[in-house]
Amino acid sequence: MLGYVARRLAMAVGTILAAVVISFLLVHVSDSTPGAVRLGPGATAEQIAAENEALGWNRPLVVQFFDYLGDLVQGDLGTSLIDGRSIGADLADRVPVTASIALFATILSGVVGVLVGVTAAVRGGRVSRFLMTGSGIALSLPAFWVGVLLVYVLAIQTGLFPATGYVEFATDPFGWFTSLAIPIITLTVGGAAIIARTANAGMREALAQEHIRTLRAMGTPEWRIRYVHALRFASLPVVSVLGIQFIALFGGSVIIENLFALPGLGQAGQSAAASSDIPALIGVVVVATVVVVITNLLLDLLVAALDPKVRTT
Amino acid sequence: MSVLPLDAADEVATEPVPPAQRRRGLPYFLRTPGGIFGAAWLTFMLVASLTAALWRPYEVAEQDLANRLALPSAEHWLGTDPLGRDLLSRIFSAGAEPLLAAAVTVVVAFGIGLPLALIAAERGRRVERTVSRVTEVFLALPATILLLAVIGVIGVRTFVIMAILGVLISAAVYRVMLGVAQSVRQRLYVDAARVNGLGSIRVNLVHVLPSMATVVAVQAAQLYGIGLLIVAGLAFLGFGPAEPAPSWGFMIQDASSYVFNAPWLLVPTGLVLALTVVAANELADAIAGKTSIARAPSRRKRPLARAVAAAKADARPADPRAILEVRDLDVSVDDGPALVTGVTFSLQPGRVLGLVGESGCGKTMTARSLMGLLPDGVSVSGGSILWQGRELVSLSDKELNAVRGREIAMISQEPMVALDPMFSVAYQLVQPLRRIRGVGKAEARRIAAELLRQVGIVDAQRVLKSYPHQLSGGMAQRVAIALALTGQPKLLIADEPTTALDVTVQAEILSLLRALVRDTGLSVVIVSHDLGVVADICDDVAVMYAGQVVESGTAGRVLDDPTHPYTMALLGANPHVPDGEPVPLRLASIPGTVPSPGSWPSGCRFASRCQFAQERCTTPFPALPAHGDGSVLCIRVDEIHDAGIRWGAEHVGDEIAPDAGVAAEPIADEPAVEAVPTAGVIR
Amino acid sequence: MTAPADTAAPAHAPGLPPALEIRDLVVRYGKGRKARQAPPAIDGVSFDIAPGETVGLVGESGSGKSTIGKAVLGLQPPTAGTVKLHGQDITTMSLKQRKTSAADLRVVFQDPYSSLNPARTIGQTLVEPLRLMGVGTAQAMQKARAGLESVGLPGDAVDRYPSQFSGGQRQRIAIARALVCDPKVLVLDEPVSALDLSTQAQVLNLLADLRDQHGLAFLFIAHDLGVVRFLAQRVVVLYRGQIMESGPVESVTQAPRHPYSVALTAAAPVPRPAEQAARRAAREALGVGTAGAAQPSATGCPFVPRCPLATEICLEQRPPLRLVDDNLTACHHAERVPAL
Repeated sequence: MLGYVARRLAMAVGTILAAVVISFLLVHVSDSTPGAVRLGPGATAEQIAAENEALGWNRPLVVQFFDYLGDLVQGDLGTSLIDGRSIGADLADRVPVTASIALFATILSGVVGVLVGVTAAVRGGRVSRFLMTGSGIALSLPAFWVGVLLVYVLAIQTGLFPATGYVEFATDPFGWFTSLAIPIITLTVGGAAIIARTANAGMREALAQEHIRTLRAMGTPEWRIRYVHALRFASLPVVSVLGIQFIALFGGSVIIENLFALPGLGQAGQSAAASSDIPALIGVVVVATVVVVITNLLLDLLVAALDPKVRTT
Repeated sequence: MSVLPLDAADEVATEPVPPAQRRRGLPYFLRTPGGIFGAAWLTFMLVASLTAALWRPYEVAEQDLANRLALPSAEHWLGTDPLGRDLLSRIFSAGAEPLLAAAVTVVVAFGIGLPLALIAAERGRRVERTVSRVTEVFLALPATILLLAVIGVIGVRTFVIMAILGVLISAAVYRVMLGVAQSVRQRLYVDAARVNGLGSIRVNLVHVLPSMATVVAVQAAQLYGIGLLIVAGLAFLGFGPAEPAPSWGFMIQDASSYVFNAPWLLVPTGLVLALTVVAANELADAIAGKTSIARAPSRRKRPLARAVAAAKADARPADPRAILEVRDLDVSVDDGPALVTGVTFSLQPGRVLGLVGESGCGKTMTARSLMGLLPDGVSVSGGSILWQGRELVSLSDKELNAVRGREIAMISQEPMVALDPMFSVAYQLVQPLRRIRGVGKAEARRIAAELLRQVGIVDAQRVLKSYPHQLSGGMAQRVAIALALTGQPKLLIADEPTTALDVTVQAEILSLLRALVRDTGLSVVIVSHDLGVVADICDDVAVMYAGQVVESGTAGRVLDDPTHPYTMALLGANPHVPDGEPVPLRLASIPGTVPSPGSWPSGCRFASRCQFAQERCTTPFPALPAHGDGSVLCIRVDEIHDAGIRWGAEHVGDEIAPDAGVAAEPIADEPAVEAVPTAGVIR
Repeated sequence: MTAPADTAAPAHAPGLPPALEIRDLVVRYGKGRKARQAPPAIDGVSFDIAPGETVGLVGESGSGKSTIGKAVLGLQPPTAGTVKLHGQDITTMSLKQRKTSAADLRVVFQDPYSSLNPARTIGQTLVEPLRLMGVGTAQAMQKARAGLESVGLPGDAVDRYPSQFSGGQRQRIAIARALVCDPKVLVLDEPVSALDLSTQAQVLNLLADLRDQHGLAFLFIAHDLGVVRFLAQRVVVLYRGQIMESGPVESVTQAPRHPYSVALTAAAPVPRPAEQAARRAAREALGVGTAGAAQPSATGCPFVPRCPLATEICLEQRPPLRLVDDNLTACHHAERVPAL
């Protein structure tokens, strides 16, 4: 078990290192330099060269890399080329926004998806056809399109929730909730569809297992067969997919944040990409990778808790 | 722009499509509505987009300022955008880029992931581990954010960006394909080809890849859909073709700012994009052959069975000593062929009855019908099952549930999968103990340990804490027997309880069953294909062939003095000769195979394979009494008995005469028994 | 541990090398420290097969019988020991080299469903080994038809797919695939275990016919002593990767000199109730322990935890194979082994 934990931790560090290396290399193979970005299009070649020299861009790559690593270990992600703000502080404000969208959307996807998938598996026939065809379509819909449609229905037509904008939790908890409602519902449409398919397949596989027949032969009540034994069996794939969902929502929230003007990590990534703010980009990649790695670790622990085969070997 | 998880590969059959099915007309996946829609829509989009410049009614930048934000009309079929540009022209002109760029992602992802998976599957654990570690790192990288970083560095170059996405996704492709490749490589035909000396590349090309084709196609179609969403998503963020060039993503972005006053603008572009992604996913589902629709649980056709049971119930006097009496039992596929017909037997308390025969003869269906545990789509279609004087055939599922576990219990063939892998042995024993015996938790645990000791498990406390995967096959079967005993049943149904076990373990389990019968007065119905097992444990035996009981009686009479040709043949084909007897040079064998349900002749079902068959065997006849209380279903039984003939072994050399096997065993034009839809049902 | 020279000295022409010679075979799965500490899958196995002879390799699951077959075929590289085919060392020969140098050695696998590629016609499957041996297309096809006829199937089956055949027919096709190359030695890895009784008898008879007609040598891997007794002349009994007993099949099955062989023989039921009752009583009187009991000690006899005759010496010393009556047995107490 100790060896296992050590291996997982080594993998985690390796992944973060890989993210830093890849973004570093990406930055350095490109024509663009931080000097050019900071000074803008009006600057002369000499000015840019001098700025680059001042920023330490001309030092050997390895030196820059280890400098960055050294800072990173101390929690320093550098400063933005555009506005000179601390990237670490900026992202620290943004991560909670993205994290709460991703987390709530994942939880809601899990609840709705499991309900739909299990109902379809248990009821069969027409109900199953309707629910699963619906999920098949829902998971194909582009989130940004669904988002706008929901704005039209939930904000413009019915006025239930605000269309865009973000309210700090500290200023107005209810406003915070309503400002996140449409983004979360939008992400849940696709997320719940994927979970529904996974839960449906898992549940049907579970109900076809030999040990279910053993339970039937023992006269076990149907609810217990379905919701204790089969559901437990089907929970393993659902949990892994939920983990992947969270990661995908976290990293992929950029579109939703753009659409709903939410000050999250994705929005930072988008504006940094648009303005070629290189340190900010690397910072976003590193932070997102750390979140992914932590999620994966938690997921492994959760699977181990659920699956006796993993737990006992 | 979430990168959707690819569906787990094991949901998809890796078996190549049976060629018989493949060769006739349309490919199988174009026979479902989803498949037709998917393929047709994708083809239409591809053709229409690539040729858009030739047919579009307006140029993409052509503004009709008088007609801004127009609804569909004769001039503008899909309406116009805020600058009065024709939506139809713009949508289809924008299609080529996403349709092709998504393909780039698919090609790159599979171009890297698939060969890596094949190599890792072939080269063994060390290579596999190294590659897998590297891909795990790749998988943990946040793909969307990395793409943004790439855009920040190289600018908006859609095809390069999508190729880089392909590299990132190749890790996921590798992971899915590795599992498939490994399972295909375990097939024996791969080993056979390697023993033939086929080189590594050709083994992969000829034997491994074709078997993976279905999975590859499914995953590729899914990934294509994801790729489309990502291209459009990037354009939505402004990382697409620059205005006035059209792009789906930006058109939706544009529409979102007019959602207040011109909601229609959202519809055409979004619908086309959504339909295209739906098409890719529908195609994937169709290729997977996945019926995403579960069957509705079948309602058993009780009224019919009840009527039949009532009609036959008083045809013959009930055997007063019998605890279980089965009369003229028919089991059929709903709206399909019969699987079991006219099965009749009775069982007295404390005795063991064996149902014996080859696979496909209906033994398991008969045994399962006793508990109402037939598979979906199969039901009792006639006859009666009297359990302690009570008719079980007409009971509802709920009423039967009160019998199951309490009066009749069952153990099955594969002990390792008969127990729930997610729960401890203690939980699985305690739960029915509490439910059926109504005892408290501590008491239930004490009884569970006692039951385990009763089935010969010495370290009961340790086994109670174990999970099924920690038990050996023999141990698991003991636990399964203990579980069956939790409800103190009077009848145990054992379906091939020792077939999956080693022969020494089989002997131990049989001894255990015998001890239980002796000590508790349990009655047992045991299903077996092994006459040795029947000789070991059974008091009575019913030999089944093609859904009928062909011979029954006490085990001693039937096995020592068989009267039905099929029983004789089975005994002659058994290579286990008693001690002291010489091993025959050739075994008796039965030409051909058991006819499948639905193709049974009207007369004797064994006639076509029988050495003694005559013309009159082809007309129906009733069973005759034999072996005291037993019966035999052969019209020539007396003649054969009087003449003292036995089922003979073939002559040496007969077997390889060019036509011998052919005449006896016609090759089916349709797939063999195992492949017909009822297959799952027969086993 | 070298087996005495006469282990496998069946009657065959002096001077002629055995068809298959296996010496001190050791197979370990995996590499690294853990794998080295675990007992090997095959631990010092030696035996010979004379030309035209059938040797049965019997044991329960986990005994390593299939591993020996794989090592012989080159599908699992041995850790130590040698495998010789007609006197030629093929132990480390690659599968590709075997194509020409060990073409005499072929295989029939257990599962007739997975041993034929469902996407290829029977003809394509049968022609594959011939083409690799350099036989021309037309001639190869002709041989394939002849091969099918020799196993009792019509030659025109070459155009059909495996799904159109029953289990027994598929196993005949697998046999035909092995036979088209005119081999001298066949490894039969549980060729009838997956078949029904009547089909099993058909295939066993076919194998016996082919052996007699072509003078084939069989390494016949099986878990069923009755089946082995029908087909084999000699038998090797395997337990946890080691040979427990070997010798003429009648002698090993009727007068075993190793407690494990006794247990194995006594456990196989015969279809005569009266006689089976007697066997059962005899078996229960033996007192053989439950399979999967304690792990055996590394130094002693692997059967100790289950053996009713075990004493101190069995724990300490691994018994060498020695000749007792007609059998070679690896038991310190062979003389005390009860008669069946």
